[in-house]
Amino acid sequence: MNIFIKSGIITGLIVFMAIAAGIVFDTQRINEIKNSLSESEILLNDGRVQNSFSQIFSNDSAYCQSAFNANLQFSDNIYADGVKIENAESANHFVNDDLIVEKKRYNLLQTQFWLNMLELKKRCNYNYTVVLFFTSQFNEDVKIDQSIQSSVLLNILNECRYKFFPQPIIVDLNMSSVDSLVRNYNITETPSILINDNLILHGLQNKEDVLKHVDC
Amino acid sequence: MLDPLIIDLLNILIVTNVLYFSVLFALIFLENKKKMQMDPPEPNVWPFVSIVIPAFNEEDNIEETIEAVKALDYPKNKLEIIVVDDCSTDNTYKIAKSTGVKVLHLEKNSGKKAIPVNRGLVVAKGEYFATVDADSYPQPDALKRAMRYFTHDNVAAVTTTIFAKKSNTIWGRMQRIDYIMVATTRKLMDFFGGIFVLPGPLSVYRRDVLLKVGGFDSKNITEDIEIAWRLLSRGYEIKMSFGSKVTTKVPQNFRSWWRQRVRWGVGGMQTFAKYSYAIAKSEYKMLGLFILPLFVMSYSLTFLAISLTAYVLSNWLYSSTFFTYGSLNAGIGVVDLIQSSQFILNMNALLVLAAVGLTFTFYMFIHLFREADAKLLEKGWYLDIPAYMLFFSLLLPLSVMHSVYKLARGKVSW
Repeated sequence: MNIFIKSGIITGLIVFMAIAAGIVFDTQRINEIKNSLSESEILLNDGRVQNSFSQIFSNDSAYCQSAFNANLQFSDNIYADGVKIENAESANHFVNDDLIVEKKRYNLLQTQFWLNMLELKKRCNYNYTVVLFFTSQFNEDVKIDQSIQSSVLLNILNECRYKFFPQPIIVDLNMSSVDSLVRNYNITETPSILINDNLILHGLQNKEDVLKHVDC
Repeated sequence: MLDPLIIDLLNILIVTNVLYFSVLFALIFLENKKKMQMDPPEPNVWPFVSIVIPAFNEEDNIEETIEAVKALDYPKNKLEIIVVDDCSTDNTYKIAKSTGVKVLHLEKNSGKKAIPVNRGLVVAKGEYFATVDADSYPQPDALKRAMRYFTHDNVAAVTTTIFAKKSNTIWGRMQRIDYIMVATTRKLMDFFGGIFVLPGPLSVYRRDVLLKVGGFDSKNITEDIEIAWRLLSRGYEIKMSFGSKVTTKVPQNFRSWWRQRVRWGVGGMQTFAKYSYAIAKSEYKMLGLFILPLFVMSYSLTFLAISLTAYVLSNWLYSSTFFTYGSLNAGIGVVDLIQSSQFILNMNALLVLAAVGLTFTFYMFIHLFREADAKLLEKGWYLDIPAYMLFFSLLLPLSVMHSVYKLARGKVSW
């Protein structure tokens, strides 16, 4: 066989195998995220159950602490999930629809966590701050601002450990629960921040402005 | 903003093309490994060869070159040495004359290598005609080994293995690696008739064929590429004697290296424009079916790779700059910013392709260097390979772009 054709066939085979390997790596990353989010789901439900205990046994503050700890564990876990999702987003070339599905799951978990923490805060009189940080998946124009805002919130989180809980929520994934939040709080741009359940800050906020509303 | 999928596909296209040639050369090497060093049998009678050494302001090198040519292991009664001094302003003429060889002196500097070479071609007496650059030093057996390749009338020219002269500068050392890569891949191309250049340090021609095709083109600044393509376009063959070794001086600093590469790029494009009619035409054999398409592909991919790199880099620079500035403005400290930045290498299809390509390339490096007699290189030469791969792979495409720019501005000169 002509050497040029032979080389073409071998190259074609290598490219095919590389693409197949790429699909395997992409799928592996998605599966890792799926498993991790399943674990986070369990932790969240654990926290939710603990919340209910604190409601039933309202005289026993130990249940408040237990509920807080369970939710804290979820928070740490979901943060790691968020990093994995970000990683997969930049690395994946082929399996991206599944990633959107996992992002929706992530969104739901974050929203539920926010509700959990608000409930716990009121019931157990905690003075931490829960923040919903609204971002867009598909608007390229706001990506840099969103990254900056994320950096600011992460910076505050590192300084105000256990007193500050920022949760990113993606607004344009076509989810009715998130759409309700957006409507209710009149979110017209991203990034935007909802502090606890009553103060909305539109646009990019610097560290000082966010700290005004956070009790570290 | 380009869709990331399009960027990925373009990257895969570039890497696939590079991979194809790595695979091609690896296969050719595997099929012809034993033949790399084999020469055809000696002729019954050694023919008369005229060696022309064109020179302009080569007082530092000319004597050594002439002595190396005089020391060629070739019947002295079948050898003629002609130095053509292109009106040097230094002592080149005087030094050449003192060696006792025939020296022609042009009254006016031509500014083009082709003119003194053609002058030598006209006065030469030999049946065969060789060019040796005035800063090149053939090994004693180089000519005899080259002459063995004129096995039939259709072989019009034979080229040889060019090594860069030993050097202490990193630039010189990288070029030694480069010249070896070029020489060995050129020999691989010989196995399918793909040689597209007859370098000046030492190439041998049938004199009657050279005269028939009109000698060297004085309008082309890379007359060595042009003459090769002219011979191929007329149906002649070009062979390579891998065992014929010539050492040549190479640029020792970036500036002169860059000028040389840009000149080669400009000359290459000039030559391409002249012979583009032959592209994809089977009657022009390897010129039409391989060499010309290869030029098109390599220039296109170079342009694509540079554009893509520029696009990705500028995007990254833009977003990094705004992110850094915005973060600092938003109250994040520099230390926190540095601590939060991270680089993660993720496995994906492109990385797998690149890894396979690199594996083939290293395989070729190791085996081709063994073939090229690596003991001619300096100690620790293999340490220069990463520098060579990094710098040359980054700088060569840029020099091509500079060549395009120069040609577009009509700046065609030595």
